Amino acid sequence: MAGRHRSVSLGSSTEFRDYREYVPGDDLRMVDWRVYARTDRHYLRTHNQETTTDCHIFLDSSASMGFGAPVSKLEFSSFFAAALCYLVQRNSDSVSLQLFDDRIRHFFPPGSTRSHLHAILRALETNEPGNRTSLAEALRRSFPLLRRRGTLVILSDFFDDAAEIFQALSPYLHHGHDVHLFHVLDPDELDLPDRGLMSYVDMETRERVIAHTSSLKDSYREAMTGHIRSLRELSTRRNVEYTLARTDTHFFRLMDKLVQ
Amino acid sequence: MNIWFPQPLLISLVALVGVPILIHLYARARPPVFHFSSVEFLQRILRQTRRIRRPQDLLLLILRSLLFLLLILMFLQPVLQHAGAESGLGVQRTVIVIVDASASMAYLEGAQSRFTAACAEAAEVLQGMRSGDRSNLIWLRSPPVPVFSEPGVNVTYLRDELRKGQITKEPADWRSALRMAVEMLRDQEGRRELCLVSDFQASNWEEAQDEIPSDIVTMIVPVGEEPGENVALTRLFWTPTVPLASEPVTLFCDVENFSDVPQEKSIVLRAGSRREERRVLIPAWEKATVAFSLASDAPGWMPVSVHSEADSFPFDNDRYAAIHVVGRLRIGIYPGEPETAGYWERALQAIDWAQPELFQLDGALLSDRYDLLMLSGWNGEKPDEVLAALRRDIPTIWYPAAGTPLKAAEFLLGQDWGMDAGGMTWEQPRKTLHLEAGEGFEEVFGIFRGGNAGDPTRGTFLGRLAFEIPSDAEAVSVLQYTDGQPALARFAARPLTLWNLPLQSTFSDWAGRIEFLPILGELLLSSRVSQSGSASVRSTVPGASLKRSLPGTLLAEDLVVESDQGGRHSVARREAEHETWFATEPVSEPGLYTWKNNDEPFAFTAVNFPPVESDLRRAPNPEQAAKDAKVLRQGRHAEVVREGIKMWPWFLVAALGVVLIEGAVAWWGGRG
Repeated sequence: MAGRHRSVSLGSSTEFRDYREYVPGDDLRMVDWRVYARTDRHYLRTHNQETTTDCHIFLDSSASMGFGAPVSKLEFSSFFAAALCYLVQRNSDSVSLQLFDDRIRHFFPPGSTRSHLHAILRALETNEPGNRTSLAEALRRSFPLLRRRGTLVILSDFFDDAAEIFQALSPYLHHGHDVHLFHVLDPDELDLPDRGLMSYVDMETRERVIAHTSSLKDSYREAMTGHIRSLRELSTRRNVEYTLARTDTHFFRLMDKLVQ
Repeated sequence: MNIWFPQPLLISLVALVGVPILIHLYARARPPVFHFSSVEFLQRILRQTRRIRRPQDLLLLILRSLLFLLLILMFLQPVLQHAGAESGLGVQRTVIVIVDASASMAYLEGAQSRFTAACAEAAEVLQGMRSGDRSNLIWLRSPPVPVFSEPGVNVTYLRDELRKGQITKEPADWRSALRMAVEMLRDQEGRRELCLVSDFQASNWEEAQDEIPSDIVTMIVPVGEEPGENVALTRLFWTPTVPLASEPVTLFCDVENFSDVPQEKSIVLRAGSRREERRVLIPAWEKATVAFSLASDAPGWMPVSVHSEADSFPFDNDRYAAIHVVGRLRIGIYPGEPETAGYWERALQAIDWAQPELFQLDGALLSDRYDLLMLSGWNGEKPDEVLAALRRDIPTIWYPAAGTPLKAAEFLLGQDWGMDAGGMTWEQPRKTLHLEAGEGFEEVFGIFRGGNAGDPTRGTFLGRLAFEIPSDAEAVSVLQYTDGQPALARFAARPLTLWNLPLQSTFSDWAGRIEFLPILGELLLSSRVSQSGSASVRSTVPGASLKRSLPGTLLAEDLVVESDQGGRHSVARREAEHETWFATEPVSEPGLYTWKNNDEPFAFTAVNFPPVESDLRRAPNPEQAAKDAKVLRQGRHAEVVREGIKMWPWFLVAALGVVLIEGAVAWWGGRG
């Protein structure tokens, strides 16, 4: 399946793409001399380059991803990641996987072999929720590991500062990565169920908050909606694909988002 | 006020009020744990709402604790009781109810009289009596009449008596009624209550204050609203007080206006076949006096009645009198100083209209025996007999004995001269004493005005009584010594004339002068001029028996007293130490009563509406009769005072209110 992906970089394939005026530093071999003969101006003839692509999957494995029943967010994300890895490998493209919480717990460099896939699947299967989330930190640390640009798929609940996340994403975007954010949330996180007076214990920090659900419910919904809106706006602004992934929906639907 | 708990063992339930607090604290400390992906948003929200939430939580906690407390208190059924009184629950009670049956209670207010309302209120007071409680009913009359001789348990009978109760035209004798009630309660065990149901007229109630001990629970149930207009005939008096045949008599009638507006009324006199009418304008809360001229050609009784126009309180619109016209004045001479008494007696025997008679102070009623008194050398002993005569407007001429204390004069006049009394001392100045006319000379000795009858100031005196009459005594000097010492002085308060003219031959030549007889005659005739108007007291009031001192030779069976309404009253004989009395049972109706011996009229007694009952105004503070007395608007409130106020309905209402507030606060908190 090599060469099936239209590269964003201009290459030397046979598929013509466009003319572009010469600027100093361009490869002189790309100058169309016939056009120069007719117009007395230097134009480059550009072609689309067909390449293989890398798919880099970032899977948030922090403690908060363990929330949710009957399927936790981590399980939901793992299913989706596994399916994605399988499809990528079937397309002979390379796939890499990072399991992180506040640090990079596992990193599988891009690979397209079956054994690579099996290693990834095994890691996903044995993966457990870890410590606190620090997506921004994980992104910063991973950037040097990803030499080739490709598609960045980030599966997380994004309980982190949105601005900080996008600041960490900036090098990837600048490098030309195609970034997809999948915001994985349990329905109970979107809308607090009525549980009366509860002691809410943070799964990552173990912090305790005693509150009456009915007194918080509306405010919480507003806050969560605001957080989602903030992520969506930043994504749009930075040309990043954002998708809200509810765990009560099937993860196959998320594939459509990637295909689009 | 005290709060009393009928079931004190349950008071420990109040501790349950801590339950909501404990629940609150426990629930906050150990709520169910829920592991959540991130509490960051929750913390942020809580930080924003904590400022509002905490006061709300506290308020809710307070409200819920209060609700719990109110519910517990409701079940404890506390009772609010009158402070200082022994609890009425669980102890035997003795209740004396005094119901005003005096004349003022006949005042009609709307469809019912004050008395009817009072009986209904008294029945309500007795309504709450339990088995074993003792009670009694005293009708407030003059004198008061108890239903039982001592408190009994038969409340039904008392209520029947209230239904059958009759209004009287008697005055209210509060003092006697309260004393009677206190005496009945004195030896009773348990809670002792006195309930007074009356219109509490200001004119007679205020005298009764401080009669009730503070350990008796006193309840006061005023009945009646502010009275309307009332014009009353309050007094009849005439002058001369004991007229002689053919002598003109002036009859005065006091008309009082007990209202805020001036009243013009027709006052009608009826004397035998004669009828005479006068129009009189009486200012608001003032008195007017109407005068009628009368005369009788022959000695005997002259019954008269005066009537006023009808008004809202008609019982005091009539007044009666019987004027005794005499052929000769019966003059009683007390011979304490025999020589002076002898001069008086001999002089009076020479006057055809005078009938002198020597008497001793032996307890007999002087006012029935004599029309005029002359006391020679009386030293003030047994003053009550003389005072009784003065009170009944019997003119009295008094030549005091040497050394008589001035207090005796104060006593007779009902005055307090406010000084060290001292005595009337005998003095014999070196110089001969002479007389001169005093300021009241002209009024008494008009006969001497022309000079034809001689000069009453002539005469010489070698001795006299020395004393000083203070200006407070309101004395008028008729004759006085040239040095200003009174020789003959009259007092305004009562028909008393002080005689300081020694007649003994060793001290004076006055008795031998030609002027002496006309002087004495003029003095006696002029002394009958009613100064105080107290002739009206010769009448009696409803509720009193008619009494007369008569010769002991009369038989009670021969005597009867008839009212002008046609009623006949038998007469009973009562022996006193020195005289024989004949008296009827108490009479209830005003009017003229005729004494008959074998059907021959020989005397009259007037029975008049008590003037004190005409002023229908209520005393401003009737509860002042006893410390902590409770004024009840209605008789049924006695039960509240007795049993206390059951507070559980209040707590129930308060609990409902708290529930509403709690709901509102919770709703407001939920919305926030």
